[in-house]
Amino acid sequence: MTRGNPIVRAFAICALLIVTALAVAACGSSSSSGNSSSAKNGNSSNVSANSLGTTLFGVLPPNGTVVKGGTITQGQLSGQTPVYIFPIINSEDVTTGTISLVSNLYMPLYAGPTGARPETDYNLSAAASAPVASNGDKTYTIHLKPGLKWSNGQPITSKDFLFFIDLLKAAIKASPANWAQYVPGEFPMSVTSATTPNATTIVMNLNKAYNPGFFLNNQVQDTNNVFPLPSQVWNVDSAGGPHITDWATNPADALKIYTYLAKAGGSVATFASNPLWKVVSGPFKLTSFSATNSSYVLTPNPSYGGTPKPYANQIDVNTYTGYDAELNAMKSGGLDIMVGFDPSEISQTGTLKSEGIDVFGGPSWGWFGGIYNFEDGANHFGQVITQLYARQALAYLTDQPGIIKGIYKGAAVPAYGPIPSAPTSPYAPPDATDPAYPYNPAKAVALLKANGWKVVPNGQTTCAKAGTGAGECGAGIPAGTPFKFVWANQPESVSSTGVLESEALGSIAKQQAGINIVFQTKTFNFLVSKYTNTSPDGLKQKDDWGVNNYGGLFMDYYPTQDGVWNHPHTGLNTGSANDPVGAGLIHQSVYGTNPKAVTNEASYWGTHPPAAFFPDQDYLLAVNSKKVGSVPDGWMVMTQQQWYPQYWHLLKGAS
Amino acid sequence: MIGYIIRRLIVALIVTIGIAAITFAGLHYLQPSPAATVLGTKAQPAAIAAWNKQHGYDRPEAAQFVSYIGHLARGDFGYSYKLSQSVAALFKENAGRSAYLSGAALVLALLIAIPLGIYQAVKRNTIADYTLSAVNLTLYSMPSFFLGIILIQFFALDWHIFPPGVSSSITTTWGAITHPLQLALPILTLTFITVASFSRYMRSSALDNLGQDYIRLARAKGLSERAVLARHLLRNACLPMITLTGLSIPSLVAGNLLIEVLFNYPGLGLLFYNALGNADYNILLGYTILGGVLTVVGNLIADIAITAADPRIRLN
Repeated sequence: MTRGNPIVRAFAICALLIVTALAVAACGSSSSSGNSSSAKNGNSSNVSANSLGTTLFGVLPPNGTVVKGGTITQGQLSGQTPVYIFPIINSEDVTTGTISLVSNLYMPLYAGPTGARPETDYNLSAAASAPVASNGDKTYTIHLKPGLKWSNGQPITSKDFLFFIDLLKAAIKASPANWAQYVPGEFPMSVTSATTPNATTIVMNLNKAYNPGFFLNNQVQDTNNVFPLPSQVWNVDSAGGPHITDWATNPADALKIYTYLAKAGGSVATFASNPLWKVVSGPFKLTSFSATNSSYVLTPNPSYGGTPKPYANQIDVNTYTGYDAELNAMKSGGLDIMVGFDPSEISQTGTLKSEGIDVFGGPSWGWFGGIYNFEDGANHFGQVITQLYARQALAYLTDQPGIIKGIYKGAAVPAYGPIPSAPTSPYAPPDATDPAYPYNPAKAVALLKANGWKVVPNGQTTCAKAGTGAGECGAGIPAGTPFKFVWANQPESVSSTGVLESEALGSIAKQQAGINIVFQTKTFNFLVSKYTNTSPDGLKQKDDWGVNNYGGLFMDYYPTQDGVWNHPHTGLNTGSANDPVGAGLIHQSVYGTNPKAVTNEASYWGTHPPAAFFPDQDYLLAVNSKKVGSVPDGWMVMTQQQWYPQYWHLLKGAS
Repeated sequence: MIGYIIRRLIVALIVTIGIAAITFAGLHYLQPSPAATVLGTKAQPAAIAAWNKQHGYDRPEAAQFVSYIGHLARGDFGYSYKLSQSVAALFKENAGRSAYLSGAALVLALLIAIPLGIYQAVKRNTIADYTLSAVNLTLYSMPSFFLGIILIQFFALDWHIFPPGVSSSITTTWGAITHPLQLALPILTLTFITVASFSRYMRSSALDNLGQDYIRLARAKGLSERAVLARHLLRNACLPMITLTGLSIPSLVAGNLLIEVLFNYPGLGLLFYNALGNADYNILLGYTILGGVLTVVGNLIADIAITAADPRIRLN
């Protein structure tokens, strides 16, 4: 190629700059909107919303004037789409999308939450009231609402719930993994016998007494996973086969029915066409389902017995590859409700508001943070963390207000124990909002010094006085032991906030107290399958980790930590927490009669933390508030990743 | 020629088995069995062991691999436990849409890049040539998803000409074909990126050929410039396009992952992307092997096609 003249080359460079400028302009239009919105939302953060029973990020879209009919579009992310339709959902298929679809088609026995509050919503439930305990809390009687009907016109009866129990028992006997919610020994295997004295009453006799609060808000509520099933239609073991009537007395037949329904329930391609799933009790019927991208269409079920009845004539649930694609669709008017709004886009909320898109959110119900490994042999960390003062020191070094402001940009609430400071729960102890160990590095340092440690800020703190007496480090901690341990996180690409908040703790711990935290990155699957002391394979790695920050746990409405911090080496007790007092309180929560037992338990975990508790992040949503409205509970329930489209309606004058 | 093809096919088979072995070993190292993903975090060790036995994951890895290759030979890529469908059925379901997206972009790119390259060669070292080269170079160095974001910003969000993504209601290849506006931005994005690449080769090839004796002879015979370019230059200068088209076959069938993700378009690329997020073992394995096979086949087709197009080239 020959050299051109300078003018020509200059022109070419100009052309290059123009193209580049176009690219920059495109970015600039995003980034400038980000800047301006950031300015507008400089003070965006959660505010207490007592009437809603939680804290609220942003502003709720208004209810507006209800217009009946029309179509509302809702987004869902690929990877979270429904993959199963049969309401007995196995561990393999329990996705957010599956639970959402099933809850829209089938009326839970006890539905929830009520808005953001972790409580049963009887307007949406098949049960008329809470289970009535008798026989020393060993017998529970549940009354169904009278007049409920399946979409084929048949009544919903107590036999339909009995059908659920018998199928579930058969399924669990075949494999515990057949029901995602199953905890060994508990419901439904705790039901020794059940009778149906009339069409709306079921009486269950249990193998032992259960705390009434636990039975309702953990066992039969169980995050919308207990349903009456259409026993007159689904009692078959093949398509077009004869109806099997002895499922209540013949477990083999119950298993045959379950096996057939479970197989059909996983056939995505026939979700909308299989006659089985045409019989529903929920607010909607499934009109179409794409096997290609799992988008689907819901239309109202006229027989629905709950309230409110659906306002819209059609709900289109469309699948998107990611938050960006979903947000672009919203901006261009192709999507009305976005469930899950990327927290990293939080600075855009002001700009989106000017486009008629309201972003709001609230904290989830559960606890999040790093689980201590009480058996970690490296640097005697298991023995160190067994000492309450060591856990208190780490709590004092956790700057939750700073993390909320700096990392979550205000979209999170403090959580100092298993019950977060919001949403409000009838079981919450006072210290859910008033921490026992608020951020105070000086107190952390003082605690360590008072217990025999030589504290070297920005260096390495070591045990100076071995022994079990006052002012000594504690049992199994030799002199010279460094306060040092491995903290395993998910990759930053998966959980950036999880990484950032643990690094914030690590930085303060090092600078202020000489505690050295060595960070590791592992995949979620690795963290839950290898860094756990609940399996022989996991125990091989017990000395490799001190803290496992795989996320945390969403909880049932009854916030006992049964299975989590009792019975070492089993269930979800991955770090071998072994606190006899805590275990005793858990026992009271589950089997005792005191309705406040679980409050006492939660309070104990706040003062004796078996985990490094971190703030509870908001779940954010975006709504085209020029087009769609709802009562506040219809929006707030979505902050718990549960959506009830029957609340949504078009607005008067909406285009 | 036939001997050459047979030799290449044998090599292709060996390469494919090699790709399968490496992918299989890599995935097994990361995740010896999908049981934990399938059964969930609450699964008991006994349930995981039973699942592994039922699905053959308790056997030695070599035995599992031999078994997998045996199934592969029959077109069985295994089963997606996340999507409750066979992987082969999922590939079949998605391949058409991927082929349409990539194919439409490829055809458009060829229609633009060939005349553009020739134009630049004829007008070499002029303002037009420099300008087009600068634009091409910019587009060539730009990741496809970045160009896609720019097009979305302008054409969808600012000017509202096209939708920002493909509607979820488009679930068939025919649906994609009959809704050209829906696919305008993904096709345009791929087309621009491909034109940027192809036209550079085309310009270079045309420049080489313009200096050849047969072009001078054609001009000396008094043929018009248009006839020289169309009858003599075009066929010879297009030879690199044949190779490039052959090398495009993998993306033509296996999909354009980033574009499908960006524009919400259900194809093989998006299937793979979702499988990554879900640790959907058999899809990851099958897709990688499919990509490897297509690369080998694409190369072979390109070699054969270029021989057919240019009798001077002999394969040996």
